[in-house]
Amino acid sequence: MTPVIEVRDLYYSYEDGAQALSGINLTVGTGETVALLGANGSGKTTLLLHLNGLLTGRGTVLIGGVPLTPSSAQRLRAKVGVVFQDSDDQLFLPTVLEDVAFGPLNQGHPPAEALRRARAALLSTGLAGIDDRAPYHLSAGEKRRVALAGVLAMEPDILILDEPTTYLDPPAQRNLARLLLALPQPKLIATHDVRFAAAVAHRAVFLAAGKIAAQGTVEDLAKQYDWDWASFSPRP
Amino acid sequence: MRHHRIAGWSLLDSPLHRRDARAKLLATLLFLLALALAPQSSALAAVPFALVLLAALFFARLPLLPLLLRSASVLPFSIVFALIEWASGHGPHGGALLAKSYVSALAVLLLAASTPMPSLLHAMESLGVPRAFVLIAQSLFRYLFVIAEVAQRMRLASLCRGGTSPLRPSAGFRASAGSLAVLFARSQQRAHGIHMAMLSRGFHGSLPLAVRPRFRPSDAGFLAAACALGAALYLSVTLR
Amino acid sequence: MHIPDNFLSPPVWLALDAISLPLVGWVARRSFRDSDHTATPRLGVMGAFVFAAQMINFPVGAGTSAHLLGGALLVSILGPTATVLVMTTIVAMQAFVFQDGGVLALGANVFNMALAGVVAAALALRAFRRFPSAALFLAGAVSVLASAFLALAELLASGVHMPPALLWASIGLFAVSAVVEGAITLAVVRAVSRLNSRWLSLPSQAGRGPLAAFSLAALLMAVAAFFVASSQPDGLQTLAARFHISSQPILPAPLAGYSMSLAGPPWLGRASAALAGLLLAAAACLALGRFLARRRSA
Repeated sequence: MTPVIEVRDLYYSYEDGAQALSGINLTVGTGETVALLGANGSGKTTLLLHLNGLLTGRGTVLIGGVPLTPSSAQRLRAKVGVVFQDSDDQLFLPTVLEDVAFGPLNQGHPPAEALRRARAALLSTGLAGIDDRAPYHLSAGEKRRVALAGVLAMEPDILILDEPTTYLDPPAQRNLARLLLALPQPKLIATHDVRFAAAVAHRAVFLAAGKIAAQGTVEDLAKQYDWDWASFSPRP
Repeated sequence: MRHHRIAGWSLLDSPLHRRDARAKLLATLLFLLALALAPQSSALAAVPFALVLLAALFFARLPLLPLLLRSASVLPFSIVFALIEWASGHGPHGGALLAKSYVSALAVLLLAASTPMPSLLHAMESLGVPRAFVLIAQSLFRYLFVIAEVAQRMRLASLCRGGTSPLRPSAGFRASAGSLAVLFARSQQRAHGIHMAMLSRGFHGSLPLAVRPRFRPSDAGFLAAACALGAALYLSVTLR
Repeated sequence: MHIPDNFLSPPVWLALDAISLPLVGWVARRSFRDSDHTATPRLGVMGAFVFAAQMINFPVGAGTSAHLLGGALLVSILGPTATVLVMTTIVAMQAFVFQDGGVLALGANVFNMALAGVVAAALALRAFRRFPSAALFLAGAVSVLASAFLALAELLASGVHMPPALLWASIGLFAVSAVVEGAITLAVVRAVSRLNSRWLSLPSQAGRGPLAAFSLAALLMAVAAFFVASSQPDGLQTLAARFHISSQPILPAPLAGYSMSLAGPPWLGRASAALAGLLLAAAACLALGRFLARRRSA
């Protein structure tokens, strides 16, 4: 069976010459949720931006078996839904409904159909009745779910989430985890939050210095890289 | 921030809030025009206009005092010029300028407080304002609060470290320039982030309009009434 | 300097609405000809930045502080065309949402701040591109001067009375705010270029064409402004009377009198006197800018 995401020997360096990705190999299978762990600056966001062609490095990225090229990127972007770390980047239109309808309109749906999809996506993220609200007036948790709805309205095959728990309080984090577990799409989630990762992901990969340093369960990787609070001795 | 309240008012519900934004925008322009063409000789000419506005405020179920105070932001300019007029022996003219500029500001505030910004911008677009301006204004308004919050946090952080009393003014000046540069860098990053997020949702240059408001018969009636009222107001103060 | 409604007489604001609104509309349609609106969010964010930047105070001595107005800073970041669009949006937003400046007077305020101020800043940046510091200081200063003097001229042309003492006081005030804006613009652009110089779009060495275009545009605007003024005989008489009164100098100043005896219709003489005043003010700024630039680089 074709993996939904397949990355082969991906290299990328920034304009100033710094190497961001040095030989990434990664596959995400159907129905699988993979957590992407790693230190700040290890290349997580850079890797995610390669998966819908916003960045193009050296190497191969296959989405559903189709190679990602400049000519196929526009089409494949509809299949790969990216939820950004800062919801304010994503929610740029004046009302919630217009923002969620932005993706479907870009896909070429007529306004009525785009609005129908937007309303359905809002409903599926538990956000009925805030259509005309301004994103600025929403809580961090609501903003994150609107951003997710904006991606779901495009009916993507894969979900990519960059640090989805940033700015969320614990109840909102649990809400988000519940929501993600209910969504059938395969997911790749970059996060620092080991408990969140363990709650939603089947397995994890650990990124260090632009390379996949290890793969395994979230718990094993957390232990191997001392990535949670287990080794911390509490206050005497 | 100050203008937060206007955004809040604009989301209330009232007969005036429910009117189509295009009708309200045109009615406001007519009102301003009638007022501007009214005689400049005495402040009394502004009185009938003020009465009409107060009635509209009542129908809009907006809080009277905050709106009256809010539109006083025009007064510093007006009072200075009214005093100059008065000092140079043109007292009534100065009074008329003061009264008319205040009533004009109140009329525009009433429009802003009864019409949500997105609808107002859509109305402007359908009345011929180029789409580029509407889009720039949309994202300006959307990110105004976001960036102002960054500025506010930077100001607080500098206050917490005694930023108000630099030893030398030139050092303070340079520090302010530095924080403005950082604010600019953050805005630049924000713009880049928005652009990336838009591209990843399939953006390819055009921003189609999803929601088109409907112009109902009641809106046409409202506009016709506003025209008649504007003409009546103008005639009432000019024919006297 | 935002002019509220009812301070300008109908011929003045109507004429300025008729000039500036179609003009900025043309600029907008030209810039986004293929309805590719990719750049608009960035322009909006930059507009929001200018709004928010006004919250940051700059100490200017004597316990007072000032803030950035932003026209020249935007020109040095976005270039003149995009700045015209952003400044127009800002001025319109100030009028409609914050009651800062009139709605009928929108054309006048757009003309002063989004067109004349921006063109003046762009001209200064072009003309002095070999001396970047001086160019930036001047850009800030002349953008404020152009906007403020135009606003003053429009008010006078509308028959607003202004005793000579006050006229001089406001001119002094303009000069101070021009120097402050120039200094802030220079300081901020330097700080920005230390962070990342690629963010700036300062004019390159090449390009006579744009310079000529801008000079032409500035000249057209000046002509248009005086055409507006001359269409208003009452206002012009007041203007003349004001300037005439001011020939009994309260402050000894080289420009006292403001009247150059020129042949031709009286409005032409007055227009050239005003233009000469503007040029002199610009020259003074220029000298100050060079002096400051030399001192700073020393």
